[in-house]
Amino acid sequence: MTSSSSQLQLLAPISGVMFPIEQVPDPVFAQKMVGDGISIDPTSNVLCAPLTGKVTQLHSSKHAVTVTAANGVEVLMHIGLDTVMMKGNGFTALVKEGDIVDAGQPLIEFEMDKVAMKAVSLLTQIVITNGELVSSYQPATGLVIAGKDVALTLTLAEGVETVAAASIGGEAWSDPVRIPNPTGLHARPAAVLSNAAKTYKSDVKLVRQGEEANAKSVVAIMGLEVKNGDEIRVRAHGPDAQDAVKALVDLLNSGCGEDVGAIPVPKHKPAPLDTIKPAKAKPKSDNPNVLTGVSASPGLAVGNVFQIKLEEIQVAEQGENQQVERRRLDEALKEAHVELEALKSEISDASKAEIFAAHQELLQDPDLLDIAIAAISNGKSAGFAWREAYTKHAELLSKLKNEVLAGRANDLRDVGRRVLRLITGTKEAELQVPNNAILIAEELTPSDTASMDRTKVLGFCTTGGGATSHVAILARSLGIPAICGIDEDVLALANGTPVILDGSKGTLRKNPSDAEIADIVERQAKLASKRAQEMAAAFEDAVTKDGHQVEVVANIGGLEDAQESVKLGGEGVGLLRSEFLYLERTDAPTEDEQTQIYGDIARALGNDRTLVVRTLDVGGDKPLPYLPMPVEENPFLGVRGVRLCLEEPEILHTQVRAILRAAGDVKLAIMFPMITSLEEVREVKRIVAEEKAALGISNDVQVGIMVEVPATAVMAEQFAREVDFFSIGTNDLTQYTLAMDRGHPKLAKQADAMHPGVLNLINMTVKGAHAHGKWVGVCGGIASDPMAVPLLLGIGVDELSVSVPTIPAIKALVRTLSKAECEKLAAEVLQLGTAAEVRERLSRLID
Amino acid sequence: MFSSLFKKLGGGDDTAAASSAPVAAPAAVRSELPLVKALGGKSNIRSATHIAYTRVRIELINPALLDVIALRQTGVSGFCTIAPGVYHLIIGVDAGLLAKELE
Repeated sequence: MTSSSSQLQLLAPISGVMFPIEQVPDPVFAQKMVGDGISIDPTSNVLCAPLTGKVTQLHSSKHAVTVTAANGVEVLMHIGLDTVMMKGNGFTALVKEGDIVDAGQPLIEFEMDKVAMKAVSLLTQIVITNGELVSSYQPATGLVIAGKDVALTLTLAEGVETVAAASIGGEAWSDPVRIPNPTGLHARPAAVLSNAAKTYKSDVKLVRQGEEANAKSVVAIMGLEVKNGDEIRVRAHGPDAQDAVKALVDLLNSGCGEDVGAIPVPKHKPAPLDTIKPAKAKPKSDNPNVLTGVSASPGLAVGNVFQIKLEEIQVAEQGENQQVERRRLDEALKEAHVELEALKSEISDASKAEIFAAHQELLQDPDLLDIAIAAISNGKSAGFAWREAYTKHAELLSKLKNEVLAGRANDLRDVGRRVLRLITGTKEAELQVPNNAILIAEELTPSDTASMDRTKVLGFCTTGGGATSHVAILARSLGIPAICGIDEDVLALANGTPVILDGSKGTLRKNPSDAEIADIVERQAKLASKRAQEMAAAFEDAVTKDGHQVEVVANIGGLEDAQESVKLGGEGVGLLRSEFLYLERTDAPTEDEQTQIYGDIARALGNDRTLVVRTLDVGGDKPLPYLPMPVEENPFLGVRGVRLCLEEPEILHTQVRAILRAAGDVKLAIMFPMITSLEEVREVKRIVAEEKAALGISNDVQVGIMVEVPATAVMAEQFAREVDFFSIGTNDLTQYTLAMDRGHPKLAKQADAMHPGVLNLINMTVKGAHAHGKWVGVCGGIASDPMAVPLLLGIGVDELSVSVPTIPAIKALVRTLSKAECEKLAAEVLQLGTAAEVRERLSRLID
Repeated sequence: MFSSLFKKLGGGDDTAAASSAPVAAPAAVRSELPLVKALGGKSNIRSATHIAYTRVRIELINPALLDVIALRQTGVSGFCTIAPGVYHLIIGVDAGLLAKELE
């Protein structure tokens, strides 16, 4: 609803027939005693706001309401005549006095038949009660539709403004702002917003069609569950209301710039966890000795149950006097802050320390404090009041649909308990963990595990949580098995009960027989010694028995992976997934930012290793806010990978330049994803050559392509003439070759890279490449699969790019093979008809 | 903007105020009137009551006989369906006269 400089347009608040107000059978309106305006005979039964403004009056009989516009114009809407007699019978108010409403927002609903039969008339008058602000009225005629047609145009008197950021007497509100953040206002932007709001004296709220949240409270903002595309209004009340509104609107529009704010941003985001599947429904086990849950961290452990129970902290409900309780709360909060500060400095890993920084943030949440202080004012003790506050909020958060936000509920409970212990003087129970412990608990918080003796813990089992919970993340980083969401019967197991924890299967077997335990212990010992042997030889080349060397390099998603790969004997990086630089931010990474990170990775690898960087590989399934992507029906068959980058060449040029600048002494290669045509190849080669020349780089930089679609594999020979190398992404190749979504609930099992169709395409790729003396690497899942490695070798694959932890094992495996025999094997396998036959043939080899 | 539905039947007009929109003389109400036809015929009209100053509340025996398109074409300003068979016709200041004719 736009207004030109001195006009104000009122949308029809109700659908119906325009009626001359002078003919309304009530002199109060007909003679314009209340004000001039229009009358509509309604054909719809919901009265809506004719413009954006504040509900300044709502009659108790709900038949009349006044909405005041930003510039002060008061619009009174009176449904029917003599309807006040009905005393609200037949009328339902949908808003209350003081609400800010959008144009078109429903205000009052009424029963048309009932009111028509009782009242004098249904004619609804819309009049301006402060007519001195208006110089002329232009009513519409005929039929009007609510919220769409303009029913009345006002020409405003001289001096009356139309203001964009509205304000009336210390109160200001904005127009609706559309939220650009792809995942809505999650924790980080909520924190940024609340920090900004706190700098203003005024009361600041976020409003979404009837719901409000205190903009100074992170918890309240998150509780509003604002999603991408939602329209939010900012509203403030106080001396600096207008400034507050303007500042927050700017912030919201810019996505609450993730660089702004108190929470530290980890420099290197963790690589996507592709080994852990998302939590599935828990199957109940038939065997009474076996408890089942969700696999949270793989591995096998034999140990003894050790229950971690959260002791109930006793609090008295009645407080002493308010000052005393207030002081108790304040001091506990201060001390908690200090404790968290100490914990932060003990932990070297930046992203883990971030958890405690988040806890400190939660302690400053004004909503949380308000509830606690209010309870203290009501005579409750500090402990009781505080517990009320954080448990209420945690419950609210845990009900949210967004898993990540719901996970914050546990953070809140954790830090809440910390403060509660300080208030009551309860010592934190020292976690005296015995040897060989399998920790069992409902939930394990970062605080619980921070002070735990890690050497004694062999595994975790919790009844709550899932694959992304703190326990899962911790277990994976420690390399020990864990199960989340396990059967609650587990809490009844006595301390010391011997159990076998299978993290990969998600089972906990209690009371295993001695024979079973012995078997597992033996298996583990064998595995451990095998690992040790592999590790000892990790830095030697992977050369087959008959003298053929295979390069074993790593798939990585960041600097930490690169460093880890070097420690495990990796000979380079066959795939740097560059997406970690682009995801979860509102603006593209700058050239300097990228140069820094690629450079760090290159330096971690050093001179003799290769670094293959894959350019940005995203598509419609994971939209980036700064890369406009229209909605596609089939994002996996759409504009993704190199196609997207060629449409946004700025991004590609920047990335290529950064890679070239960072190369240093490492052997550098650039790889392009989702290539399907020679035209694409020629274009990307041109871009690389252009940037090389511009930067004056004379080092050799190899340009290669991912082989992910059948066309590229089939035409490998033609492509080999124009590129330096291929890297086969077998996961996607399988998907596109078999036309199966690898995430499909029914088809996922059949989307098998061992399908002869896929294997033969791999073979074609290698043959085509070698015909022109070019090398081929495999970076998909089967490169890390010991069953497939002999086959890949036999086909002639030159490089295996594997997941970091498997590097020593794969290198050791290569050393046990003979290339000649592998070639015979490959010739045989490529003739087989089904994936099952292939697996059967390959498994015989392992034995 | 009231379209001509019926002539003002001599004298006795309760709306005294001068109207800004001139109302054309209404035609005589007869069964063949397009409005009555659109409602499914005189026999289909169970009741026609003048309500809320500008409306005629119609109850039809057989709602299936209602021809909404024809009804709109007769120039009725507004039309609301309250329930199957129950409708408000927004006529205007002469609604009372029409109601009488349709009874």
